[in-house]
Amino acid sequence: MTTPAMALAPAPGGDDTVPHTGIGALGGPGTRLLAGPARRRETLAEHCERLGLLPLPYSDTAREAVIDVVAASGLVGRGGGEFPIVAKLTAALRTSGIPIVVVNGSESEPASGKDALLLRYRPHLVLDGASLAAAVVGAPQIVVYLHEDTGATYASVMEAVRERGQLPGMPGIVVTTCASGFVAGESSAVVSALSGGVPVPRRRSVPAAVSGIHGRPTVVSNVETLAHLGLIARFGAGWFRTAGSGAAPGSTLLTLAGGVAHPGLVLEVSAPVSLGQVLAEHGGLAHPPPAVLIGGYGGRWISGGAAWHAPVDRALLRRAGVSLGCGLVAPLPHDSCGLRVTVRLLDYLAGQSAGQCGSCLFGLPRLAVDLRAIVEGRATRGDIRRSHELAHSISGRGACAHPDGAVALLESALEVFSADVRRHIHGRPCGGGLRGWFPVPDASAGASA
Amino acid sequence: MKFDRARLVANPALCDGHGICVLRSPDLLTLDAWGFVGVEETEPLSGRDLRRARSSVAACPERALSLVPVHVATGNGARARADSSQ
Repeated sequence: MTTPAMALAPAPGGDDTVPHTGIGALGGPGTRLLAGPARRRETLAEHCERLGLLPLPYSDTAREAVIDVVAASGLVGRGGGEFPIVAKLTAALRTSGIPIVVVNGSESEPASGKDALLLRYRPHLVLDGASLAAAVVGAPQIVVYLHEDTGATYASVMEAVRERGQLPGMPGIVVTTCASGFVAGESSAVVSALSGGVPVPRRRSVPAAVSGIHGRPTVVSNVETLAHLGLIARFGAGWFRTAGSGAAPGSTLLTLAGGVAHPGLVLEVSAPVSLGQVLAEHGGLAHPPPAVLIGGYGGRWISGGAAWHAPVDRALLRRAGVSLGCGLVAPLPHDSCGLRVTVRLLDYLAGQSAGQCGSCLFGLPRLAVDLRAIVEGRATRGDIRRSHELAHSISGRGACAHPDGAVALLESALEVFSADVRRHIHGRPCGGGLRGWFPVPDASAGASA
Repeated sequence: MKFDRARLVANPALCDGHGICVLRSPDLLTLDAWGFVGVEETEPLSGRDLRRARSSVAACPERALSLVPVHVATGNGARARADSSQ
């Protein structure tokens, strides 16, 4: 039996015996997903020359062999859900109906840029992963789902689709855009939009891989996840696992935001590396910041000291109650007030509610109002206690995890900035401003049900 | 609906806060600060609790509540039936 994991070219980032560690930017040393030309798009010809043609499975045994390789790799979704991709592939393969593969390139986190970077500069790696997923589950079609305001990304993907027209035996690719909005990128919202509905999250009793777009088995996967898949298909599970740890294998992409030297910089990190190393080498930070927001706007603040020594390892962070989520790492600048920043982000998250669930529609604005009262010194200890209770009552009550993310942001802010909270409510505000790169899109761009 | 053990689930996106369900199953359901429903974490429902839950499901004008049958392994089947006949 032939293995689909034949190395046709030297593996990016070393062979499959030497542990692969380090931090690299686009085109820099020590990278896998970001290997190749720096600061420009890789054409199909360059991509094929560097990595070789993608080996696609055409027989049932070859498909099962690919499933085995993906399972052995331990690859989990990099959009934030951390769901094993092999479970989606297996479910779609075992379900009757004509499957479809969706490349979820919506990347709704305002400060995250890793998926856009891959689609703009390494589109063929992403489409390789999608093509492999399609071949494994037997899907004749791939849909690339993007937000409508992503011009350069859209152009790069369209060019990639045109280039791939020359390749034989590849599934058809459709590129589609939808209204922007934080929750429109949630996978059930993607399925809803592609089924002709509004792009808002739906409560599902069966996973999309079993019944998704118009009831078809639908593999919805994040851009970075598929790019990893494109490499695993070539170099195998053993190679993939030489980066990262046993519990969280593979390299991971991070986007730096907040108070860093180059906001929006995307890095590829292979554990064991600490967040402090990343921020010192690429963020321009000499000392631990007061706090770091990790995982996205619906992520968690952790104190700067703890963050500095924290490993960039999804499994170890999860054990500490922190999700690396979409890979956002945003240190708070020293002259910035963490509570003010959190009010700004909570306002944004509240405005991005799809308006379907009462607890989210009414609860998130209330959390923002409560925190603003604390910042402006109008709150008492009792108010803070009631705010905690309110946050607790909202968590877990939505059709999607959007309200839970906002609650996690608030709760972590009240904990990490507890000294600031005391000063603010005693009329001695910390004096910090609203500094650092925490971009918030225009409120008019919100989703609506 | 031929099952004797089930979980009560709410679709919060459909709930419009009528609140009739909570009057019928005050132990199983709660309302948040704005009157929208939430389901208390419990063991699978049976017997009187299940009858009350069915009544709540039937009362919802938005069809936001549903019962998901819990399939009991053969070995525990006798005990599950005994529970439901209390």
